[in-house]
Amino acid sequence: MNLIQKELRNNFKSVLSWITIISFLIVVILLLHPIAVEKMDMMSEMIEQLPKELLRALNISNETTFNNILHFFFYELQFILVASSIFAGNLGANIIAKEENDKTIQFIYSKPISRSDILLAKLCVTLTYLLLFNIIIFGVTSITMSIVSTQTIDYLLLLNIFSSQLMIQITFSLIGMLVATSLNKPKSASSITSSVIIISFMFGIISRISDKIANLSYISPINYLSNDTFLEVGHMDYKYIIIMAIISISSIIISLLKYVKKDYKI
Amino acid sequence: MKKKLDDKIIMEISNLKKNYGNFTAIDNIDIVVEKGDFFGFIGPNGAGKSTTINCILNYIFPTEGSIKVLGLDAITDSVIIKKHIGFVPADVFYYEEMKVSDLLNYSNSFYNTTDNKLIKKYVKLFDIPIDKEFGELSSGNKKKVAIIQSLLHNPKLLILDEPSNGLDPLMQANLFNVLNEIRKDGTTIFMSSHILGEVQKYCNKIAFIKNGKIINNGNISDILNKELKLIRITIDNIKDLKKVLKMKDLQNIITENNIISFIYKNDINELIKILNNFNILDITIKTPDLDDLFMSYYKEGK
Repeated sequence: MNLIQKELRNNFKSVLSWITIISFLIVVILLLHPIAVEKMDMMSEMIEQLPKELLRALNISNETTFNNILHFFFYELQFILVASSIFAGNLGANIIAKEENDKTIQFIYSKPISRSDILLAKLCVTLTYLLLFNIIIFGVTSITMSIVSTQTIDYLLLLNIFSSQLMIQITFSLIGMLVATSLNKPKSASSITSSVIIISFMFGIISRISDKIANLSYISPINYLSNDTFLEVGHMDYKYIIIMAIISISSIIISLLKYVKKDYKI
Repeated sequence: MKKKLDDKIIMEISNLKKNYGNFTAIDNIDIVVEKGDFFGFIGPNGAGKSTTINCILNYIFPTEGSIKVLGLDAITDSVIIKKHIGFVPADVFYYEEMKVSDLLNYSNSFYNTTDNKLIKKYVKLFDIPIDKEFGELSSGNKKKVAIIQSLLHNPKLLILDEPSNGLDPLMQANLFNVLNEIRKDGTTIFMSSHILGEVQKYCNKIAFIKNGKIINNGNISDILNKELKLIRITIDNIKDLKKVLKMKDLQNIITENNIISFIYKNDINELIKILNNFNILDITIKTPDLDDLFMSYYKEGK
C-alpha cells in the first residue's frame, strides 16, 4: 500500500496538469459551439468545396451536423483523444521508466518487495489516475455543455464516449508500460510510446481515404471512437473492445515477464 | 510455508559470473561470509565490486553461478532475504523531492519493525537535516541518509558499497563505531572499499577482486601473514636474477627498469643467499600491509 500511495503522490502534479489542459481545451471547444451553429451555412458551403478524400480523412461526412452539441463535441474529440492518449501512454511509460532513469529503483528494490508487486502497484496507480481523469473530464464536459447549450444532452452517450476513451487510454498506457519494461535503457520510453500513438492515429486517418486500406483502422485505437458508427449505435463496436482487451492483456503479461527478468540499470 | 534461515553461513556466493554481451564483468566469484564477519571486498574502480553487490541484491541477474543469503536463493527468495538486509549504495539515488524524514518513514514502512527512537538516535549521531528535501542535500548527507535507512530494521546482513565516500573523517569514525556496535549485536557486515586503512582496521575477512576475478580471499590475519615479505630490489641484471629465483616462492612480481619487486613466501635467508651472488644496488624488505598487497596486486601485469 505504501508504494501505491507514494506513486499516487509522485504522479499527482503531472496528472493534474493534463486534466487542467484537456479540460481547458474542451471548455474552449464547447464555447465555440454557438459560433459554429451560427456560421453553419457558411461552414457547409466551405465543406462542400473540399475534396471528398480530405473530408473522409477528417471524418466529416454529409451526415455530419454540428448543430447538435454532442455531435460537435464528438467530432472535435478525435483531436483531444490524441492528447489524452499521449497522456495515458506517457503515464504508463514514465511510471516504469522514471524509476530506472532516476535510479531510484536502487531504493525501492533494496526493500522486501517483489518486482511483480512493484509493477502491479504502478499499474494500479495508472488505472486509478486514468479513471479519475475521465470522471473529471466527463464532469467538466457535462457542466460546460449544460451551460453553453439549451439542447437536451444524451448523458448516456456522453458516458459511453468517455468509457471508450478510458479503454483506449488503458490500452495505450499498457503499451507504454510494455515499451518501458522492454527497453534496456528506458530513457526513450515515453517518446517511443508517443510516436506509436501518433503513428497509429495517422493510420486511422489514412485508412479512411480508401476502402482498400480500410483495415488499417484496426491498428488505430483512436479511430475506434472517432467514427460515425459510434454515434449511430451509441457505443463502441464490440470487436474493437475485444481487440483492445487482447492488446491490453498481452501487454500486461509480456511486461510482467520482461520486468521480473530485466537487469536494472543503476 | 515459512522458510528457515541459515544463521551460520550468512552469504555464500558460488561460481558467480556476469556477462554483458561479450564483456565479462565478473567471473568465477566464490565468497563465503559467516555470521559475525566484517568482510572487506577490496578492488579498484571497475573491478566488479558493485556488479557483485548488484547480483546479491538481484538488481541484475547472474549469467552463471548462485548466491545464497541466509541459506536462501538470492533470486527466488529475494523478498524474504531483503527483510534481513540493509544496503548502502556507493552513489545514492533516492527520491529527490521527498523530505528526509518522509524518506526514512517510507523506508521503515517496508519492515514490520519501526523504531522512532532509533531514527532519532542515528539522525542525531550523523547530524542530518531531517526537514530538508533529499535533493537539496550534499552527497555526504545523502550517504548518511542511506546509512541510517539501512540500519533501522536491525538487519542480519548489512551490505555497504564504498560507505566512506563523501563522509568527513568525523562521520567516518561515527559510521565505524556504529558498525562495530551492530556487529557486536549480531549483524554481519559486507563492505566494498578501496580505502585500505579502514578495511585493515575493521575487517576480519577480505577478498581482493581484480578484473572481475577474486585473486585472494580469506582471513585478513592469514593474508597479512607475517612470514610474507615484500621485497624490492634495484639490480642491473634482473633477467639473471629471475632465472635463479624459484618462481613458486614469488607472487605479484612487478618489474620496472632495473627494479624488481615481489612478495616472497619462503625462508628469507634462502633468498639472501641467492642475492649474495649478485651486485645489489638497493634492497628493501618489509612485512606487507594491505596497501602493499593492494599495490602489488593491482600493479602486477600493467
